[in-house]
Amino acid sequence: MKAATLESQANANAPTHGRAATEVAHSTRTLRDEPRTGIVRKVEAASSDTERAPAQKKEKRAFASGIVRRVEPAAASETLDRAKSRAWRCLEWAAVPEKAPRSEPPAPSVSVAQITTHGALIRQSGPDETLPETAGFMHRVSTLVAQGLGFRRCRALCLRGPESALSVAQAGASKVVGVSGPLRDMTNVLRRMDLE
Amino acid sequence: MITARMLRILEDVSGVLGSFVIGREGGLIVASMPERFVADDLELTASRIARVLSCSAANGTEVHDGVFDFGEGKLLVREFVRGYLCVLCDAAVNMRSLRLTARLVARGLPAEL
Repeated sequence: MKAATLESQANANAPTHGRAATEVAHSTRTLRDEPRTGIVRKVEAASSDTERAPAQKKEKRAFASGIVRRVEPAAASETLDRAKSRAWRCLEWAAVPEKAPRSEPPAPSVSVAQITTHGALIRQSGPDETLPETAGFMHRVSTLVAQGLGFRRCRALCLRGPESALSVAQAGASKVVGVSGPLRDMTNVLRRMDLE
Repeated sequence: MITARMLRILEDVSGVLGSFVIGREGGLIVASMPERFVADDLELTASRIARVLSCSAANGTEVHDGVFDFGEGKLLVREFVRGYLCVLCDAAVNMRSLRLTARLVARGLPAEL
């Protein structure tokens, strides 16, 4: 509406010849057409002329920036407001990646068992269910091995296999800790026992 | 004879007190230990070591090598074809050197003992 008024005023007083006529014609064209600057603006849909114009005609006025394109309003599923708004949106607006479902933390591969020196279970974790009994037996027998070789007690023992390792260590005066698991998770234990 | 000579190689590592070889069933095969270790006691100790190792195998860890830490001393265990090589040493031993030497000796031990 505003553009049409300005155009009619300009035409009424417009010179018909020379440089002034060229400038007036250029300014009139500028008011009528969208500039091809590549800058994206939101175009309001308030004009009744615009609403009456067919959809194909609207499409011809699309900017040539190549960055942002208008969402097609022709889909039946879209609401009327969205179809009228002529808003400019990124084409991927609906393709927002959904959050990945929260997965359970991986099951622990290292088993830990704490027992008293008398074999009573204090705490246990991990997949190795027989670790408390194994640790208790190993602690008793390794103490006998130590005494048979002239020592008082066995502070710790660490056994390494091709894929897994097992460690039993005395922690304090009355607690024994057994740890077992795959080699990659037992690196610290093996290093502490000079096996790595 | 060859085995005794192989075990003597281990004593070249500083801190090694002695060594012995046990079968998988716990029998003492050969020993190169100081005189204070009586043979009967050593056989009992060998059977106990074998029980610890078999317990580990039953728990899912077939032992290739291991260490018993006694505080003032250590016992290194290394698997070989017929059983386990056990090396008794004091706490200050260079474990890296000992492990390397024990591996070489264990490889050199004959299968028929």
